[in-house]
Amino acid sequence: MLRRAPFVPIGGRDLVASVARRIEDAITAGLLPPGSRLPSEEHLATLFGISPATLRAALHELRTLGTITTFRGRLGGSVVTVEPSWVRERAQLRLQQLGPTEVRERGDLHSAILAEGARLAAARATPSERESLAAMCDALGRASDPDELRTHLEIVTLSQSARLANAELEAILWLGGLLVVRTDGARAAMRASLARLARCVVEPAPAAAAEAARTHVAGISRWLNEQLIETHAHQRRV
Amino acid sequence: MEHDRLAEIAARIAHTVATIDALLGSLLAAASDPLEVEAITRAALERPDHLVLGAGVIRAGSRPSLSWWWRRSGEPEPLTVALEPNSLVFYDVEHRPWFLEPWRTGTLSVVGPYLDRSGTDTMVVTLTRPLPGEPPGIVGADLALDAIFDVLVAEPAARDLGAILENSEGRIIASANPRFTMGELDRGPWRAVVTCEQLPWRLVVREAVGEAETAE
Repeated sequence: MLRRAPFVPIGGRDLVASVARRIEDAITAGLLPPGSRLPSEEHLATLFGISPATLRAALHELRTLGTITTFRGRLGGSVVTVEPSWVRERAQLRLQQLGPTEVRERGDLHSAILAEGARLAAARATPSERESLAAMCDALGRASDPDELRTHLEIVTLSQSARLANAELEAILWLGGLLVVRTDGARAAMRASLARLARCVVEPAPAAAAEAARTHVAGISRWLNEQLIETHAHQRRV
Repeated sequence: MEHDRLAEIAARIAHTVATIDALLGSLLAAASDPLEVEAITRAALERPDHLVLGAGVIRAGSRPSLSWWWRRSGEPEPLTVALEPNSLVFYDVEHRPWFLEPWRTGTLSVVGPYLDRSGTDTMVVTLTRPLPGEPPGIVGADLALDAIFDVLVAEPAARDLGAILENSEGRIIASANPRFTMGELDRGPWRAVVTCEQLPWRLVVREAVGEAETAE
């Protein structure tokens, strides 16, 4: 019998598809808005830590879907060519395919990353860094959705841990594309809990920051559960 | 009134789970024929409600054997686990509750939800019945909690009431209340409780205790 558990799938189709999904997630999260240009193929392959061949296969898949268009020549490269309505449609489709297991698993992991990231940020950020975070926090009310997502990343980056920051990036990339279907009320509530978290880092109050991070993620999970109950009430998973 | 609405949902859930016990009956009858086991299992994995995550026959003894199929993502595939005791992720068949329980009671056992670490690596509910013979074994099926969630939230009353389906110890199987979710431990207090017939499960509605009400 195979010892399966240490060897989770990382190759072939799975990898191409997950790279393509990751780029789609960045588009839906607003980090790569329609009309924006993707980094060069070499740079993207390096960022993902994959071979150029795998990246090209993923880009080919996105071209086939019409998600991106690739231009040749000196000013060539790939440009995001989705319609603005696609972002909401994809969020709805993802909610239909999503189940409570993945929402809870992702929520548990995000809570662990953000709580420890925030605690370390409060303990390690310099006064000038905390001042910049305070300014960002003050602007949160009128910030764009991508800026709101970046605030999470800014907080965890202050922990001075690259691995925690990368893990947080993965969490918000997954989340960002779903949050586009929020009501204004839900958006305001999430920004309020994020601002409370940021203020604990600014203070600095490490233990309170960790607790505020857990509360913030719990609020997001509750919103996701509401969406799942509503979406799955009338629609079977595809 | 609330109690009656919960009882109706509980009856429908018990009825759905009874179809899984029927599957175990077919597996018991076919246990000695690997091809027949595979055919029955594949048919179960293709149920339109996606309730069955995996199913099959497991025998213990000095050289345990699995005839177990599951769908990791889409297509049915055989489940492979580490059966060597010195492996870090050793899958100790004989000492798992879903193996011990049916042999202790001699009948249907419903274990979980639990994290099936080193097996399917996801939270499942496992239904098993003892399979007599040498070496002794079990026939069983893993239920997907996401599919049970779909069954629950399809009930308008479950959504209205924020009903929570949990096992007799309070571990949540599926929740139509967004403040709670699968895998959490529900300690009450409850406004209404109805037990599911033939199952160690209950359907509850929480007593509302304000904004901060969550399991954790």
